[in-house]
Amino acid sequence: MNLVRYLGWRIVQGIFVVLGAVVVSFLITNLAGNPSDVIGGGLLTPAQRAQIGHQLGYDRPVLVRLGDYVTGVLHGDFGSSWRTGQSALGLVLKALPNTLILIACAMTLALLLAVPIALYSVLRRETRVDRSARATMMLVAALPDFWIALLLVLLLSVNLGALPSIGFDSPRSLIMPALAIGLPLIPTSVRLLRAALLDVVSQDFITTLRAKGLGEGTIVTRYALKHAAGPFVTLLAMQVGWLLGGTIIVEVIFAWPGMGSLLQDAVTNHDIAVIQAAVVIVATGYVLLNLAGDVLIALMDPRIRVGAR
Amino acid sequence: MEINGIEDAMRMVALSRRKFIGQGLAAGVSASALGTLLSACGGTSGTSAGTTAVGTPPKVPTGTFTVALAGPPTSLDPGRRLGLGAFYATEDIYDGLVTFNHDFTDVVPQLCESWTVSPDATEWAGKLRPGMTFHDGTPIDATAIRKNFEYFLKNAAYLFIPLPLKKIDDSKPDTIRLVFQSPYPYFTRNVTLLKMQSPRAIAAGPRAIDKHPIGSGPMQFVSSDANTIQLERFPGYWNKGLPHVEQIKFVITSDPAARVAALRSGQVNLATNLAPSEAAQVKSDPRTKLVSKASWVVTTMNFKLAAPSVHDVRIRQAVAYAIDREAILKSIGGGVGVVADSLMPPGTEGYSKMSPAYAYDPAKARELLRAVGGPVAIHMAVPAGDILANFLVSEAVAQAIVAQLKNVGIDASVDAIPESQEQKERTELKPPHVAKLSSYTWFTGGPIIYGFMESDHNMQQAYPQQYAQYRKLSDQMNAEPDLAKREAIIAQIQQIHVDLLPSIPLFVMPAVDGVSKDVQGYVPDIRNFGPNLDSVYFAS
Repeated sequence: MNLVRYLGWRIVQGIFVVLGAVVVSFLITNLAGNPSDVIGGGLLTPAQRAQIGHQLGYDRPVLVRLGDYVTGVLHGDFGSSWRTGQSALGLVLKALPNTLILIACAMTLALLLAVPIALYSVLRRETRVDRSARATMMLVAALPDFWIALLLVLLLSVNLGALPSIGFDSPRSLIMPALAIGLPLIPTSVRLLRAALLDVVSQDFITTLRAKGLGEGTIVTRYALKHAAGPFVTLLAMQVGWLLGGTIIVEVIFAWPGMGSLLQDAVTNHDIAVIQAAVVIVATGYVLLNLAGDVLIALMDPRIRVGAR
Repeated sequence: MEINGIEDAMRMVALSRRKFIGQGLAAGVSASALGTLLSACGGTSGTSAGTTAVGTPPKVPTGTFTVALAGPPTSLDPGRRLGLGAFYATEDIYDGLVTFNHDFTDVVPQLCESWTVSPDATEWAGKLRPGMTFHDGTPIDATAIRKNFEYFLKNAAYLFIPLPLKKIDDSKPDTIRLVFQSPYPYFTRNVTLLKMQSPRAIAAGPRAIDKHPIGSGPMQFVSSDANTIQLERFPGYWNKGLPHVEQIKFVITSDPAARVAALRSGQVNLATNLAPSEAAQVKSDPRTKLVSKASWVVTTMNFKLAAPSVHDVRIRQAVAYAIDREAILKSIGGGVGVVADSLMPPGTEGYSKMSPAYAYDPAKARELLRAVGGPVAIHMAVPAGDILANFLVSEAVAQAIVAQLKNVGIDASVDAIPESQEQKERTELKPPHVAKLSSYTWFTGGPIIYGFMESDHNMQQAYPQQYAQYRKLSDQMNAEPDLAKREAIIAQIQQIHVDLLPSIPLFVMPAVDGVSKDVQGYVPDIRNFGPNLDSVYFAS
């Protein structure tokens, strides 16, 4: 019952966040002008631009358009792309799976590397290996994803010809973008998990486990990891949420047909309906992922549910 | 004047074909012989006027030619296509009534094999080639062409050219007769931008066209998704022997570095509009080669003439003398490009060197500024990023100009402005900007009314008397059938610009593209509108 109330409260909060995203994205994108300003690459006369602006409905007052937009969104209609005439929501939902695949691969890669590194670092804490691992993580954290992406393209695609550098034609196309996105996620994950584990292994119940004769490896992997998972899950949920809109640069570099490329093209061409739909979908995804993270933590840790009450 | 027999024809060939069109019009010629002769000049049959072709094209179309496209097309509809992506992706889907040859030296027949024009150039009658069809099997006849022109007029907001049609006559199925409200000597140049599509597509509407465009070009549409557009050879193409490749694939790759990387790794065969650093990579890679050609794109520095800080023409002249264009090209342009010596680039109709040339002369700039007296401040704008697909319109170039202006005592500064702001400031600069680095593409290879658009509003505000004269001359130019007289009028118009300097021509940007080593027959589009790929083939 407590969990249901907790969830209910979080859902209400989420609805307000998404509604805020609807209004704010509309107002911000409209501040930037209307598509007729960029249509034609400057070859059209002001009269022609005004005519196209009228055709697209941008000559109406902002508040009237905001009202129409919010009403449309509540009915699932985010408007149409001025470029393709296709539903803006349809375009976003078409691109979303490609971004989710990329995020899933990047997160899997990050988890597969981050968890063992963190565990090993705790088990061998303050040894030379631990210090080297931490230094390496600091170095990786300092590398921007676009730089990693360009380096990978240069090495694996241009010089070795081993992997395709653009598009999404086969699973091989996934390797470089997933690496470029996944690698910078590892240091944060390692540091957070390591800190949480160190906190747990200093607690009394771990001392009890040690007194019972359990090995350090068993204690850390079987008991401490479970207790340290709470903040780690929250971090993962936030990372995935951030990546929904945070893969733009990497997607552009690899010409990946996902949300990032769609957003970049939409911004470049003032395709306002698509920008708004993408922002709202990202906001919704962020809210849902945070909610999922909270639910997971609440299920794992009863203290959260009690706290909610 | 009649063109009879091989002697006349040979004499005409000795002239440039551009002159020939002009002279023919002046004499009230002409005739189907004009078109026939133009065809004979090699504009449209078999292999095109390529520049780098080695060996011969394959007898059977072979391979997939992959293009890294800088951005998604705004539309695949020839009536509503805007932006580079749209032109690139559709150039091979559609044919026009006429087109430029691959070297962009002449207008040559395409769907119409010959033309008859009235002495005053108000009536143009094009004879369609027999037996042509659109990709959906619909015959290409005068009615289909009429429906296309009606569609263009319906979408006039998207037209880059004037189309003052009075009547469209499709009474003869093999002849489309267009009657204009006033003389239209630039019709053939301008109509190169209008591409024909199937009447069935027009009837289906714009949304259907964007989903499945139907033209009559060498390639037909197969499919498109978020980042690719796939075309395949149209077996029923009227120009037998073209194209030489089986498929063309466009991969939308927004990032310039990614386009070059994809070219070097062999994933794509063509990356266009390379900046000097990218061109250097392509040039040094044994798997790729550079293809470069002088373009019709001129980089300019435009002024807000009514602004007090630059209203005095001596200040603008001082700016022109203060800019060392050679040095900028050498240091920032990587030695690529040439100094502009006219508002119009070489090769366009009406091109003539400006006089004075405003060659770099800082002493003269200081002298002019001393004559003006008082401090001079110029706050200029430059488009941020690569908005205009012109590496010479860049913050680096703008900063170099600022430094050179400071060198002669002008208090200069620059703002990088985003695309939306750039578009708004195209017709009228907004304070504090009194100047802007920009570029203009003479996309029909000759002057059209929009050719001087960036300075049009400016002149009207600041110099109403000269503006009235300019408008009068523009109207005369647009209605003058005789090429020599037209060029004389253009020279007068240009002189008004040279004297008033509403904009300073800086550089002519070259079209610099990169292709895979095995690609032959590729010619860059000097309009920067998208190359025609029908002559491209693989050497292996």
